Amino acid sequence: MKLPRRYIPPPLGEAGQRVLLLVLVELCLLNIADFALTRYAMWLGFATESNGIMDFLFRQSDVAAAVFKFSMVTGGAVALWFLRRYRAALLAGALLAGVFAAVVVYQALWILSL
Amino acid sequence: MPEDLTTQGRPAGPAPAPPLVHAPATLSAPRHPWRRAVILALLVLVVGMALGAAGFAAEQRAFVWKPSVSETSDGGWLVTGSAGLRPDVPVIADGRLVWGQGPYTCVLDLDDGDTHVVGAAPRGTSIWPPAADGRYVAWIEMPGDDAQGGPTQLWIYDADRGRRHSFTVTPGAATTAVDGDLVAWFDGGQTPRVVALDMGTQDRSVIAQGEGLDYPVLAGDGLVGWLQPRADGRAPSVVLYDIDSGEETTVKLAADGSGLSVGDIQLCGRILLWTLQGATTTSIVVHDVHSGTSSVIASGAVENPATDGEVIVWVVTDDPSGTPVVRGRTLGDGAAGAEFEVGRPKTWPSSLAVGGQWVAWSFDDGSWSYLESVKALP
Repeated sequence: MKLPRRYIPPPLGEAGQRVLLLVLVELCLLNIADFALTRYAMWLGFATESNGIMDFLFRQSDVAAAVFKFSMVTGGAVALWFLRRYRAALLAGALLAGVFAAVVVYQALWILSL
Repeated sequence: MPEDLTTQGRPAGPAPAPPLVHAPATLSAPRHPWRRAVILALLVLVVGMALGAAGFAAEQRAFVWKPSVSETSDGGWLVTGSAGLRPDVPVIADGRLVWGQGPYTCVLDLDDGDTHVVGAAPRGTSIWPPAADGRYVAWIEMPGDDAQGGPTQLWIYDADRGRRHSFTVTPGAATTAVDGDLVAWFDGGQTPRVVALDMGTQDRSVIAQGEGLDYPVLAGDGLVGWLQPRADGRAPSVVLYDIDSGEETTVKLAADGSGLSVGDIQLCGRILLWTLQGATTTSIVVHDVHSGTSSVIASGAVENPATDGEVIVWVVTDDPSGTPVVRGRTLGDGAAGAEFEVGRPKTWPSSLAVGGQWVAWSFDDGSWSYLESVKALP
């Protein structure tokens, strides 16, 4: 009896890896913008950090919050780059970059509306 | 001689066939391999940004309250509110109209109508109306029993920088007063206190404490004032504390045993203002804190006076026309100037404000409430 063969998608080609690299660079830049806009909105006194971990770190110092945030996202981006042969890495990178782009635009518009 | 194996020495013969080369991948690769990648990465960015902008717009439409502000035919501004969100207690400072509207504190730039909601208290919170002078707007939010928690907060909005500060104060805190960089408030803890905060240095100091202090707290021209109510037929006084010299001056608001009730106490610039209400008439009294002289500015059927230290305005309730009339007088260095008409609100105004060339009044037509500002002064 033959077992059904599991579908294994072809590995991400060079073109896909190029897109992944750019998307991960975008993600890191958007992460910096997210941090800057969050800090600015908090400085303006109109926003509070709703993420418990980031709130705790902001209470310690801006540097601690920045190191944590940048290392988490950059570490995630590096991990996705190491997994670049998988198509899921591109999907995850694109999704994260899209979400961060949405958050950054939302924050920028919100600050402008104050 | 050995045979020369170099090409030059090779005997003439047919040229060797070129090596068979498998078609390399580079032959079918795009000429600009990064162009497509950049386009796709930008597409991800644009889709994300569009979603963020759409989410922001939807949230603003569905959940974010904004005051209804429209320009009037005479270049003023009309704020329209409902019975539940009545725009009231206006203050004009530095070309800005400040008012409270339900749980919201709003600031409108009188030059261009640019409006900002600078305070939005949580449900169940009581708000002491805002005070403003120069660039600062200050108000107190007191969470009620059913509020979403949190301590009583003094909020200070810096209109020049668009920045907001909050300070935790005691639960009994009440009434704020602003004079330049100085913000003062009544701190009703176990021992009543008047506290002042210098926004320039962030220094907080207790100006006065002890029984016999009461609000409203006042501020103007480097002075912080507070009420000293008196019982047993004795009239109340206002104590004025000079921040620089530490000197205290007491201004008696009425004669002992006069039976007049004191109200509408305000301090702006060098002018301390209050009303004395008798059985039939009300008098508007101003006291120049520099000269120490007091004078009656208007009396009769008058109410809701307001001053910016240069002009005083009030409502006349017995005008022969049957409609309310807002009248005013300039306050020169010496005597007050001649009386003039400022405007005619549609219905009886509940509160007035004056600042620069602008006068504002709030009124209610039974179904809607309004706050109107007019550029009425020279």
